[in-house]
Amino acid sequence: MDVLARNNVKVSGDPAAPAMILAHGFGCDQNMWRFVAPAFEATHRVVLFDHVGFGDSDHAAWDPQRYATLDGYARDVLEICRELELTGAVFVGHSVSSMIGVLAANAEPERFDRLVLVGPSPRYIDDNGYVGGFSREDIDELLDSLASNYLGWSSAMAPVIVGNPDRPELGEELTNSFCRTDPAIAAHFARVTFLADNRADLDALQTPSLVLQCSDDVIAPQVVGEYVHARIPHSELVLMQAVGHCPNLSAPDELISAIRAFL
Amino acid sequence: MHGLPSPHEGAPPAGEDAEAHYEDAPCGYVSATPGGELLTVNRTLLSWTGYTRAELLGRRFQDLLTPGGRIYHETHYAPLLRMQGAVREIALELVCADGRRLPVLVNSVLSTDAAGEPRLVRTTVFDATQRRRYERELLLAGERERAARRRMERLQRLSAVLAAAVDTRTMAAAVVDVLAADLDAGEVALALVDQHSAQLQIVGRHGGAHAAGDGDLSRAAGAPLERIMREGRTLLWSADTSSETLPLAGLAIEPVQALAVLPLAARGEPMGAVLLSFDTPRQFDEEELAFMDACAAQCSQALERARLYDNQRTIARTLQQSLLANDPPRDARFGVASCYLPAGDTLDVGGDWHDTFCIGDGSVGVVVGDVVGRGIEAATAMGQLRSAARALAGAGLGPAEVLAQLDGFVERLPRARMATVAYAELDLGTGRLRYASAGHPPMLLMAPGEPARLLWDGRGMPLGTRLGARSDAVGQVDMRPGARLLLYTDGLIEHGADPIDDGLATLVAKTEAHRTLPIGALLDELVSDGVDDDDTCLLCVEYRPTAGSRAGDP
Repeated sequence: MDVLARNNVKVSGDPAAPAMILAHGFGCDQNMWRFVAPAFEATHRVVLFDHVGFGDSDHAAWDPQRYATLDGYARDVLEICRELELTGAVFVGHSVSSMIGVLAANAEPERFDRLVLVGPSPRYIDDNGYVGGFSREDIDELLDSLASNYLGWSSAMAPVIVGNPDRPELGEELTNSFCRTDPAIAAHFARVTFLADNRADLDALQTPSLVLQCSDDVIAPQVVGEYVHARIPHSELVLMQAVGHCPNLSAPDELISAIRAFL
Repeated sequence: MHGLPSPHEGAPPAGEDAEAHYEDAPCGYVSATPGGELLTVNRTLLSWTGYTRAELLGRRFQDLLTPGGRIYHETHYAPLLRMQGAVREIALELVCADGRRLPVLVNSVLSTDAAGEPRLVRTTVFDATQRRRYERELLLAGERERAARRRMERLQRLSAVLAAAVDTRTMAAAVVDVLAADLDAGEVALALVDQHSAQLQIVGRHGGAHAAGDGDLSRAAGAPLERIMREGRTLLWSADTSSETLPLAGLAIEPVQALAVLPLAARGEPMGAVLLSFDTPRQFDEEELAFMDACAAQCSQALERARLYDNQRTIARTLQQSLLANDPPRDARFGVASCYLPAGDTLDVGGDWHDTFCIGDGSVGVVVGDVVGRGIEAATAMGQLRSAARALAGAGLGPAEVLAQLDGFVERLPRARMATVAYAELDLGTGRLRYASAGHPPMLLMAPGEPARLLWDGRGMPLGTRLGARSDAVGQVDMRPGARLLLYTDGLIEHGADPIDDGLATLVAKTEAHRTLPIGALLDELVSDGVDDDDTCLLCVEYRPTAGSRAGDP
């Protein structure tokens, strides 16, 4: 198993510098970091990758058993670290990948010096006094949205994309050249992500962490960001001006500054 | 207009201009900031959603979406728009002023300023109510078709699994296991009417820990099971939809969320029922019901077949036992032990037999034979051959003539053709043994102080081979006091593809190893490894002359 090919790992920046791993969240792929990654290439060895089933990862490596929980994705992150011999890295996780980073750091703390959690949420569904922002029905609606939006994925094109990850020109005629996902995998990941409960994992985290909370983030509301900050022992909370859930696209400069200040 | 004459060429009709088109276009128009804040909305969208312009301006586009749609907007729509500058044909639902949901298709373009920074999002919104309904119908039709195909495959699998089982015991196990898997049931119980006691009893169970309700169920709890079986109509109960308490409370199976009881019948006669309980809420639609009925029909047929098989086997076994049953003669001058072992993995009876009888006052005859084939016919032929051998031997004809007569007898008993027989007569006074064999494996002699040996003399062809007159060869050997003679059928020495010689060598060695055992225990030891796919029959006679009955005895 070639881990680097499986996760479409791309390494850039200064090979001698400390590593920075940028992990994309639900819905897209490493393209999400296109405005952020270049800013750290002078100071870091920048590692980008796609979660299995997304972007140009090896879709054939996807396995519903292995990826039945976020631990499977965390295991992939650790395998990438091992393959690249990374220790003391900075892990920047967006959305669900922030929790994947927490799980990975709990499992092998020596791999990570710092975690940057962009829009984290340990549990999306409201639960007995806990406010996550969503009900179970809301998540079902999301699954419905996924079912009716294939984003350029058709049964005719799917095999072309999956079978020829090294020939991106085949995908060019698609409406959306980013964020292509097998709808079945996307629905599975949505379920794993939005039905997960990783609140208890926060307590165990020993890695110094930065919680980046956007304004008006419907996916990870401010109370959730505050909750995460309160439960992670060594954490800072920064409230950003950026609106929405994807500051890496909507406010890359603010995000870059916040990360730099933390490091 | 390519020269087509037009009454209004060059000028739109009164009242039509770009603004009127914008407001009343057959689609919604929205302009918003890159963050989604609504700047302009056209009249069409207002009338579709029921909002006033004042209510919408200043709110964000994503605020009009369902919560799930909002996640989709944040995770897919907004990133794509930012990265590509445009998104097309995104399916969303708008929440209208009265809470109604309007399915729409949305296209957006992002316009940027001179520095490439996002400035404005222009969006068109198409009413997709009809299209979405149609897509759902297609989706549902696809799902129904897949479900139908799955059911077909399951029915085929069911019949394949049931075809592999022969008797009621294995069939019952197969039925509950395969139904639990195919119908996704947590617990399955199979109740059948016992043929002899007429009681309704649980004969198979899959899943579930408790065993409540075992015993006669037919009259339990107001006899609802019996009624279901009599009426032949499937009973379905779901905690979701039924306000009634469960009609089968306290019966064989505990319902969790839903219960189904499928009556089983053969040729119009109720034979039992399958009880299924489901851990998850379950609605039974017509297709599901039809599928369960089809499963029940297959199970009924299979169980009926198994029942017939059981009956046939019982008759054959009873017949065989009655044919083999008679106490060996008691005489102080010899001891005899015998055993009969049915084949391991088949339940059909074989045609092996053994017999011991006195000939006059001074001799004992022992015989072991094997009729080709299995089942009732083989057992019947065996019985006839056994009686014939006994009658012929009693007339004092001697081994060669007994086999020759049997050969002729088989001419009139085609089922017994190719049967093999080993026959020996022991003179109880002198210890002289005379023996003959019709195609049968050699007898084995164990004399005190001598190695065990096989007796190869007096051999002829199997009975009824029509290869001319029988040889009148007879083997002869003197048995010393304590000597033993072992007769057996080929099941004891045939093991798969191994050569017969290996089987014989093994038998000799095994006999040697246990020669000090009493004859009954010796036989137990010889069959202790079990037998393969053939019945096995053994007989051992030991010569025990009384002191002084023969000159020279110790």
